[in-house]
Amino acid sequence: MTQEPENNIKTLDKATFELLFKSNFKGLCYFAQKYVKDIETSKEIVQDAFISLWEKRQTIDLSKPVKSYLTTIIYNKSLNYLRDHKKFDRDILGFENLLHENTPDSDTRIITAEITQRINDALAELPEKCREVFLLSRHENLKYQEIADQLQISVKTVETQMSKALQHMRVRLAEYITIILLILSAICKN
Amino acid sequence: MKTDSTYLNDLITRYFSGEATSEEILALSGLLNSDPENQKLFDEYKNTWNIVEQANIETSIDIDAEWDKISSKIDFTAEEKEETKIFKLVPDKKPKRNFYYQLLKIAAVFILFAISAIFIFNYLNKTENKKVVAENKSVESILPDGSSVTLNAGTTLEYPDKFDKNKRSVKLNGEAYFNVKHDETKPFIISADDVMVEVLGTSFYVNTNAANGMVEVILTSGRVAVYRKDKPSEKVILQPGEKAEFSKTSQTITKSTNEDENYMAWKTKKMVFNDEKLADIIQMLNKVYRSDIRLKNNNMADCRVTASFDNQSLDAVLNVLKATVDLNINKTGSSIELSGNGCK
Repeated sequence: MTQEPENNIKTLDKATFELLFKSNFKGLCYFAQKYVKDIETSKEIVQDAFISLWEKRQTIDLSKPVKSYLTTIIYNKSLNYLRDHKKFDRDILGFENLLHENTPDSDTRIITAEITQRINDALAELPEKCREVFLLSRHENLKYQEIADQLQISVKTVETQMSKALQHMRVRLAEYITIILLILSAICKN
Repeated sequence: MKTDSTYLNDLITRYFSGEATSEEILALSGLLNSDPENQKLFDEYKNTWNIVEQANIETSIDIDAEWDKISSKIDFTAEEKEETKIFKLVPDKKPKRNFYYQLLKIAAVFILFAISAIFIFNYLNKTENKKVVAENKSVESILPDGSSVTLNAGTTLEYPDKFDKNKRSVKLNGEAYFNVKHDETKPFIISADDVMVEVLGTSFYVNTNAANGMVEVILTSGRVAVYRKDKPSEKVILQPGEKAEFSKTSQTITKSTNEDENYMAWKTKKMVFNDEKLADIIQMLNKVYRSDIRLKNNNMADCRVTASFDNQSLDAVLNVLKATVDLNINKTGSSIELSGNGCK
């Protein structure tokens, strides 16, 4: 990845900090989310990381990219979160390629209007109950039990609907996945 | 085939949506380790999930709101004040007193250090006895030497958090499947009621609550020695596929070939029935699925069924039985009543 100029900064004043925050927040949330699997938690972790960056701005080495400082903090906080919630499993993290904190594409996202449209199309193709369950889970951040309570259905039904939705998304997005992976590997070979 | 991977699909979905429990995560990594096809499926789901979540993050996060949130937590106006250090150049007035005082402080620090070191040393060296209890579902546990054990519901296993230098001892009450790491220098010994099961490195099943007041050991692979606690020299050696039964009443151990193909069904939900009576099948289902299935009338009890099931849900199994012997299934509360017109 080519380094953005803001990654090698001389001083961290409020203006620079704000720029760093606004341009990196979403990407870093995506990075944290890969570990903690919950957007609300990933937002908190990234916020804490930025706060830590501000508080330590006098002492950190600004000749190194600031982003890697942030990803290190976020990596550690994410793993701690997993351990605290008894969801830490070295094997699984290995399968997801998440055991190294600074992989080059860790927070790289490729979202185009077309992909978003494709996702929305795929969602629209789902049966209504199925889509409802999926959106409550992903957009409203509800847990399976909360969705079950809200829709007056069993947790098992929620689980089945989620699996069905994800299966459908997998099939409909398959071609985009290949393209995205190709682009990512091309970018990161630099 | 889609049906056999429903369990895997559900597990993977639960994992990515953050719903998987630690046992489920362990089960998932086991499945991924065992078959590269599973890994491939997992990767496909991971990629799908990543795209969906990226889009989700893109649309649902309001950057300005997040900036407002963080600004409220940071005080941007505080200026770092240059600290002016004031050096005292006046010499100390009472040098002698200060010297002894310094010495006392240093001694105090050393004493505190020594005391905490002793506490920490004791704490680290304490071998605590750990207890794993499976209440109403199976629990899988990894032991200090890396061996794994799956406990069926209603089973307790006790083991130390650090094994001894020359042996690995655990105590079992109930039903469990062990997969023991090979270590010639440290035999693995299970205390199962009045019987000891000694292992070198192997996979096997132990049940202290088997029918007819027996303690049962069935060997899948490796080598195992079973003997009475009070008669360690009278060892019964098992080969794979063999079973040892210890009768608490007669106090003897008998060896036989294992006829019951389904002894692992509680763990794998894999069952094979060859011309079995429906009544026996129902008994097995109730054990494996912890269900309460009853036959309404006795005319169906002796119906013979040949079928095999590999990790199916109870409903799927009942549907197969329903089609095979023409059953009516009536669910009332938590129990399931089966009835029919008998077999020709």
